[in-house]
Amino acid sequence: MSDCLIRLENIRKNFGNKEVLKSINLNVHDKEFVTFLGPSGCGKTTTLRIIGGFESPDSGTVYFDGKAINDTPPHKRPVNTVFQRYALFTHLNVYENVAFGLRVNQKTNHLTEKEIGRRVSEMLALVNLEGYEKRIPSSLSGGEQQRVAIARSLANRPQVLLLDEPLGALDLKLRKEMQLELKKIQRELGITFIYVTHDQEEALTMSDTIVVMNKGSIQQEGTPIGIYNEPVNAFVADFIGESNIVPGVIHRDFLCSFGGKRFECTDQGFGKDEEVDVVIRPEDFKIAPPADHLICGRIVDLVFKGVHYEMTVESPDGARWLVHSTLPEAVGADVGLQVAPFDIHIMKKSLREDQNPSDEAKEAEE
Amino acid sequence: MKKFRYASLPFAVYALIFILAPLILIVFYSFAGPNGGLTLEHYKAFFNFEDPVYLQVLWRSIKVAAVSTLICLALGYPMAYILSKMRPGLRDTMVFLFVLPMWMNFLLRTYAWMTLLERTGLINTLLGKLGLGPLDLMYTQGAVILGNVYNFLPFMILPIYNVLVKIDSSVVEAAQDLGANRFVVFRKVIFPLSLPGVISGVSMTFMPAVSTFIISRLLGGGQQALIGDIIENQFKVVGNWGLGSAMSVALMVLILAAMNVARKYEDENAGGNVLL
Repeated sequence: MSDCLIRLENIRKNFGNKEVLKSINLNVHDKEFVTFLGPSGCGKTTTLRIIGGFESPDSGTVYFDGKAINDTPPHKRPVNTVFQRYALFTHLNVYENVAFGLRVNQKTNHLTEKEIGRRVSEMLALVNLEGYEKRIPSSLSGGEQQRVAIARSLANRPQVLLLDEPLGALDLKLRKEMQLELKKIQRELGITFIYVTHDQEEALTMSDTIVVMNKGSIQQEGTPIGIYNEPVNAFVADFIGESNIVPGVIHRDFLCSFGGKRFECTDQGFGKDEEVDVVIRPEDFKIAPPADHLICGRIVDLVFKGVHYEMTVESPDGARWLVHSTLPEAVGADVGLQVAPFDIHIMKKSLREDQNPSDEAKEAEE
Repeated sequence: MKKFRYASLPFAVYALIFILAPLILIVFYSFAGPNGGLTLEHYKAFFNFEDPVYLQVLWRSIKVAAVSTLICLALGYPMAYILSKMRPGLRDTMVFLFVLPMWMNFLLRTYAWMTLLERTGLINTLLGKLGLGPLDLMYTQGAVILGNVYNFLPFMILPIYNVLVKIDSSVVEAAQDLGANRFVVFRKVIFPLSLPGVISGVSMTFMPAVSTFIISRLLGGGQQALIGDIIENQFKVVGNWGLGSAMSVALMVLILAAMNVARKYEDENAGGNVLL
C-alpha cells in the first residue's frame, strides 16, 4: 500500500466559466480501493475522466508510476474504465466485446486466437457469465450488461480500473450483491480500483480510502471508519450518514456547550470560547429519563426504519434532534438525551459555505 | 391506441384507390393477352435473350444507378460524419442547408443543371475563357450520373447522419479506453454501428436512381435512355401497355428483392430500424 501509483498535482479544470476542479492533489496507492464520493457536480467524474485521459486538465499534472501522462491519449494509458451506462458494443456479441481490447492490442500482446479465447473465458468466469459468449448485449439484463462491461475492461489486465458510478442503474438488491462482488474481484486480481459514486453507503462498504469531494475540491480523505467517525467539517458529516449539526461553543479543551447545556468532550486545540459546529450522529444519542444535565425535549415524530426507529425530539427552545434507537418512545413522551464525550464531534465554523449539499443536487455532473 | 384507429381511415381509402388499385392494374395489364386471356408474352418480350435490347437498357440503368449510389456514398458518408461531429447549433444549420434544395422542385433543379452544362452554358463559358474550349457535357452518361448524385445525395447523407449522431460518445470512449486509436475506433466501432444508416441510404439512393426517367431524358438526351424512359415510352408513345406493365413489375420485383437482402443484412447486425 505504500507505493504511490497515481499522483494528481494541482489539477484544475474549468468548463466555460464554471470552475469544476479547484486544485486537486491526491495520491492513489497500488492495490488500493479508492472511492471519490460527493454530490452531483462535485467534480468526481471529471477527476476520473482526467485520469482516464478523456479530459485534459487546464493546469496541473497527472503522474502514473512517477511519469507525467498528461499528453498520453486514452488508448495508450495503462488504465481501463467501466462506464456509467456500460457502453457495450451493441454490434458485437459478449465474446467479441470482452475480446475487443485483446484484439486491438494484438500487435503488442501477440496473443493467438486460442489465447484470446482462454482469456475471455477466464474473464467471463470471473464475473459469473460462463455460457454467455454468443449472446448480444441487447438481450442481457442491466446487471448482466454491467458484468460484461467489467469483464471487458479487465481483459487487458490494467493496473488500474476506473469505475464511474457503475452500479447506478441497478436496483438496490443487485447493487449490494455487485458491491461485494466488485470488492472480491479487486482483492483477487490485486489491482487498484478508483471508484466514483454519490452513494455514501456504497463508499463505506467497498473502499480502503474515501475521498469526499464537494464543489471541485477535496473535503476529506481517509478510511471509511475515520471519515464516518471524525468528519472534518459539517459538509462531510452531513454527507456521510445522517447527523445533527448544531452551533455550539468550545470553552476550553475537553469542555463545550450546545443546546443550552455543558458537555465534556474529547476535542482540544480550539481558542477559548470559540464558536464551533457540533456534530452528533443520531445513533449516538441514548434516550434517558429527563434530567438537568441532559438535553431535554418531547418526541414529536416516530418512524420505523427497519433496523431502528427514527425519532425527532423537540427541545422547548425549538431545536430538533434526530435520534436513532432500536427501542421506540411514544410520540408526546418527555425524554432526555445522553451522549458520550467521544461521540461529540467539534469542528471549525470556517467551512460553513459548504454545509448544504442539497443545493448542488441540481448541478449536472457532465 | 384502439380509438385512434379511425384516424387512419382516410389514408386507408387513399392507399386503396391510388396505390393498391393501380398496382393491381399494372400486374393485370402485364399478364393480359390481346383477346382478354392471360399471357406471358410481355415478359417474354422483355426477357428476350436473343435480342436483349430491353435487358441492355435494364443493365445500363443498374450500372448508372450503382455508380451514382457509390459516388453518393463516397461523398455522403464523410459529409454525414463531419456533420455529426459539429457542435449542435451549427449542426442543425448545416443539416438545414443540406435539406434546403429538396424543397425546390425536382424538375427545376434538373433544368438548372442543363443551363450549367450546355455548350453555351456557364461551365463551358468559363472553360472557354480559360481556353479549354467547349466540352460536350450534356447528353452523356456522366451528366445523368451527375444529375442522380445531385438529386439523391441528401437521401444518402440524412440516414447516415441520423445513425452517426445517435452513437453514444461513451461507446467511442470505451473503444479508445481499450486501446483503439482513432482509425481502429472508426473501423471496428463507428462504421459497423452506422451500417443500418448506410444500408438505408444506399437503398434510398439506388431505388429512385434506377427508375428515374426525367434525369436521363433532360441530361442524357435520347442517347442515354434508362429503363424508366423505356417504360414511359411504352405507355405514352408506343402504346404497348402490356410490355410497359411487365417491365414495371419486373423492376419492382428487382427493387423489392434488393431491399429484402439489405434488410435481412441489417437484422443480422441488430441495427436500428431506419429502413422503412
